[in-house]
Amino acid sequence: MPRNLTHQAKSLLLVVLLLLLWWFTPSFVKRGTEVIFSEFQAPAWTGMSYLKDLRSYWTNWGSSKEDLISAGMNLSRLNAAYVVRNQQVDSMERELRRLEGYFNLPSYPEYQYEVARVIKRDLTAWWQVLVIRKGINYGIEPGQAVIFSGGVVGRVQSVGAYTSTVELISSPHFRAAGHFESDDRPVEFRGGINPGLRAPTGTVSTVPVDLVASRKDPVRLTSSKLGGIFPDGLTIGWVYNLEPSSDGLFQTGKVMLDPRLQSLREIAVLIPIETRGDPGR
Amino acid sequence: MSDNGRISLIFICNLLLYFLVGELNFMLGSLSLHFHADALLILFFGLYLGRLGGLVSATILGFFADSVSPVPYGTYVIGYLSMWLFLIWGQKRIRRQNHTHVRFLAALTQFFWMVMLSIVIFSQDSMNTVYWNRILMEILFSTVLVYVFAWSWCRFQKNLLYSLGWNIEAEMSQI
Repeated sequence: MPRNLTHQAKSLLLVVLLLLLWWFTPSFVKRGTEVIFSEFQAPAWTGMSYLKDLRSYWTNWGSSKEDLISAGMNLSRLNAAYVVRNQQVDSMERELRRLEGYFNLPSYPEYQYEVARVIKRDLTAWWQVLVIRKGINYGIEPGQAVIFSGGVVGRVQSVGAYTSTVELISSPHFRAAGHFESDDRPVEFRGGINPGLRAPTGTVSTVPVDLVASRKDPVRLTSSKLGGIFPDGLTIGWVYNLEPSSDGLFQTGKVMLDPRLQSLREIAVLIPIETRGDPGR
Repeated sequence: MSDNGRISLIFICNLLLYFLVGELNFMLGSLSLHFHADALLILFFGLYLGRLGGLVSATILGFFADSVSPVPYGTYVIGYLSMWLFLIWGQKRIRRQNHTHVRFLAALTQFFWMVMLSIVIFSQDSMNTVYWNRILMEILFSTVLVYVFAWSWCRFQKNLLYSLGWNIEAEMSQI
């Protein structure tokens, strides 16, 4: 390196050389470094999430006996309710199979629910993603649907060996087909640009002009099986107002998403199960 | 320990900060806020350490941030190297012993980086006031936090090195 250059000029020269090197690096090497750095830091994020679990365990350890007894009673009530609900679901499923066989209909896609812990949240203005504690090791693949008790969370964006990244429905780049609860016609949902300190939002477009939504009578936007990712009927959000779009053929509106999306701790990935050979089974 | 020892030590400190900020953002997520602490990660390398160590550390930290961010791969590496260069440029223009100068330079670095990131990720869908409101809020929030913590973070690293036998202040006064 020339000796008469200043410290700043030498630094600039080094950076330029490094950037030139980066420019000519083959893309498979770049992809390799991405995977290496992502997998290298994954155990640290996972470890920190286990520490959080341990912390909540020790917090619960200090709870009084009365609290624990009352929590146990609440859980047993919930369990009893779920047992009854499971029986109802079983009988409905049997009826569904019988009708599918009778009318020779293709069966609905079935999913295995893989529950996973959220270990990282990146909810910035530009992207909204979660990292979960399960990856290829649990059969998770990019594009799979992710849900929680309040409805749709998003879809799997990328998968690592032990972690996966989920793009939230509130992310500005998220697109999905949907429909309103009382109407089967498809509409387009887009993630929104979320103002800080407020609940996340999205937008809905291509809404037929005959649909009405108001503060008093909001409509529920649900997922559609059209995209082939989400099962039908899961809540995306609520629409309180619809306005005519610029072309006058459709309406557009703001979708209020579940505020719990920003504080999720556990979600479920829907892993499709291979379709059965015999729909009338 | 050799000179490489102190660079490794500072690198580990900043890697820990990277994970701690991730944890902080996990909590801030419920408030729909995000703290970008990129300038804090590069600050000490840019202002107080040697050229080669700073360059390598900034590149590696950039790779760390790039691999988990949904941006074109290399954005953070280029960004961190640019921030490091900016700090090198600022070295001769500020008094590194003065906390206001260091805080101001760190906040300015963070501000420029976030504006650059906004331009890189800019799309036609972003042409509305809500987007720019959110961006401005995030820039303001992060810049203010960087301003508040910059000096304490530098002082902590200087004290850590001093306790292990490296006197950064004395080295700076000799230059």
